[in-house]
Amino acid sequence: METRPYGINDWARTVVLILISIVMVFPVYWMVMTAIKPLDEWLKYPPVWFTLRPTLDCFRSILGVLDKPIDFGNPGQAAAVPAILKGLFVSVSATFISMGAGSMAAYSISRFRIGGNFLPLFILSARMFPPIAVVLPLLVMYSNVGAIDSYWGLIVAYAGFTLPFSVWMMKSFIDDVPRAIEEAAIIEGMGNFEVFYKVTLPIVKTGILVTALFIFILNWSEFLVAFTMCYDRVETAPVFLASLFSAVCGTLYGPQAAMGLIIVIPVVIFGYLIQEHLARGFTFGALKR
Amino acid sequence: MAEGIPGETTRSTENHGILRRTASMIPLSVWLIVPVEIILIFLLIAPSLISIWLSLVSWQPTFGIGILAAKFIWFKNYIELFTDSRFLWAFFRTFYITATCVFLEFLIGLGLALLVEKTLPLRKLLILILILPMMFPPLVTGNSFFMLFVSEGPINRIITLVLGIPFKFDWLSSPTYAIYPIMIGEIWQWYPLMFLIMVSGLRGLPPNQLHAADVLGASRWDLFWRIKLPLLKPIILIAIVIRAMEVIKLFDLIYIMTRGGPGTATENINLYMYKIGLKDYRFSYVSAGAWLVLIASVIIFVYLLKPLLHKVGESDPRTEEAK
Repeated sequence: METRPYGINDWARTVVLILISIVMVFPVYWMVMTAIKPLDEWLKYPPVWFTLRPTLDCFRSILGVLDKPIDFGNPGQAAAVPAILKGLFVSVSATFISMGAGSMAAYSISRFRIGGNFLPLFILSARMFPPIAVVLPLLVMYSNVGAIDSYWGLIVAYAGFTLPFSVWMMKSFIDDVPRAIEEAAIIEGMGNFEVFYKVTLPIVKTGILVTALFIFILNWSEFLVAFTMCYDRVETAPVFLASLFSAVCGTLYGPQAAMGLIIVIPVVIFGYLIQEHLARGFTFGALKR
Repeated sequence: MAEGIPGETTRSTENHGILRRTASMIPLSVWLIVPVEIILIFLLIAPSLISIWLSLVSWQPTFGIGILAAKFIWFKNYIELFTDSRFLWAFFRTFYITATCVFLEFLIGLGLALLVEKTLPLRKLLILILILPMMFPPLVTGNSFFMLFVSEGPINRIITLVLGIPFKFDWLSSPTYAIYPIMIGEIWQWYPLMFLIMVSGLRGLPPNQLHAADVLGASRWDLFWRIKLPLLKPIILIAIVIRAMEVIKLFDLIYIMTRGGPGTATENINLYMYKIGLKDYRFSYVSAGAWLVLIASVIIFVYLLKPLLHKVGESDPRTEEAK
C-alpha cells in the first residue's frame, strides 16, 4: 500500500467508521455496564447509561465468593465455577481429538488426494445438517450405550461437529507448504509417516495453533448440543448462562451479563490472537488471508 | 507401539509379523484418514441412517420399544408435515430470516470493506473494533440483545430521546415485531465475517486491471460495478453460501431471546424441531422435517454455487477461486 498524506476524504471516511464502530460496540458496552451495576440500577427507567457506583458483586455472586449472595431464586446458584471447569474440560478434550484426527486427514487429503473431491466435500456436509436432525438420532444411539449426559459422549459429539473446520483449515495450511521440502526428506531416507510427523507438522505449527484455538472457541461457545444431550451432570458454561434465563430467575440482568462476559472474555482474547485467520477458519480455508 | 514384546510365544510373533506385513501394505494415506472415518461413521453416517429410518416409521421414545420394532408407515410423516401449518410457517420463516440476514450482512460487510479499502487514519484499529461482534458466542449475543430490547431497555430510551415523545414498546413480546430484534442480533454478530471476507477479496483483486481502467478514465462508479463486483462474484457467492448454511441453523439467539414466542411467532425450523422433538418426543415426525429442510437447503446452495462450479469445471472452487 502506498503511503501518502491523508486528505480530507480520508478523514471523512475515518469519522464515518468511528461513528459506525460506536454503534456496533454499544451492545458490548451495555453488557459490561450492566454487569458492574449495583442491584437497584438493573431495572431503572430511564436506564442508567453510566454507573457511578461500579461493583463486582454480580461476578462474585456468580462465582460464589460473595458473603451474602444475591438471591437467584433457583438452586443453581453459584454453579458457574463447576460449569466453567466442565465446559473447559469438554472443549479442550474435543479440540485435541478433532485436531488429531483432522490434521492427519488433512495431510492425507492435501498430499495424496485421498478420496478425491468426494471425501473433503463429504466431511464438509457435516456442517449442513440441521443440528437437531443430528442430535435426535444421536440421542437414540447414546441411550443404547449409556452416553447421554456423559463427558465422553459430549466430547465425541463436539469433536465430530468441528471436524469439517479442522480438516479444511489444516488442509489449507498444509497446502501452503512446498512439497519440495518433503521430497528432500524422503530422499534423505525418511519414511512417509516420519515426513508427516517430523517435517510437515513442525512447519505448520502456527497453523496447528491457530486451528486449535479456533476449534476451542467453537466448542466453548456451543450451546444446542450440550443443552439437548446433557441434563445436570455435564453442564457447560453456555448451558449455565441459559439456565439463568429460566422463569424462576426473573430478570437477573446483572448476573446474566456477568456470566456472559465470563464466557466471552477467553473467546475475545483467543479471537484477537488469531484474528488474521478468522476469515480462513469460517470459510473452511477458502480464504488464505 | 508396533514392537514385539519379548517372551511371547512364537505363534503370536508370527501373527504379529502377518499383521505388520498387512499393515505395511495399506498406504499411509489410508491410515491417516482412519480416525476421521471412524468419527464420521459414528457421527454422520450412522445418525443419517437412523434418521432416515426414523422418518419412515412411527416411533417415539415414550413408546418403550426399539426403533427397529416401530411400525413402518412409508411417507406418512412427510405428508403430514405438508399439512402442518406450524411447520410450514417455521420453514418459510427460516428462509425469510436467512435471506434477509445474509443479504444485509453482505451489504454492510461490502460497504465497510469499501470504506477501509485505502489507507486511512486509524485503519487497523477500526478494523479490529469492527470485527469484535464476531467473537461473541451466539448465546451471549442473544443475552446482550435481550437486555437491549426489553421494554425498560436502552433501545426504547434511545427511540424516546430521538422522537421526543415517550416510547415504550415490549419488542420481544410482540408477535409482529419480535423477529426484528433477533434478526438485528444475528446481523450484528455476523456482518464482521462478511466484512473480513470482502476486505480480503478486494485486496486480492488484480491491480493491473484496476489500474488500466483508472488510466482509461473509468469513474469510480464504473470501476466498482463493472470491474470490482464481477471479479468479486465467486468470493461473494462462497461467503453467502457459508453464511446461509449457518443462519439456517440459527437456534441460540432465538432460544434465549424469545424461545420462539410469543406463541410460535418467531419459531424457525430449529426451534420448531426442538420443541416438537425434545418436548413432545415426536422423534420420527421431526426427523422427516429435518430431511425436508436439508433437501431444500441443498437445492438452494447448489443453485447459488452453480455459476461457480460451471466456470472452474472439474477443479475445486474453494482453492481455485478464493485466493
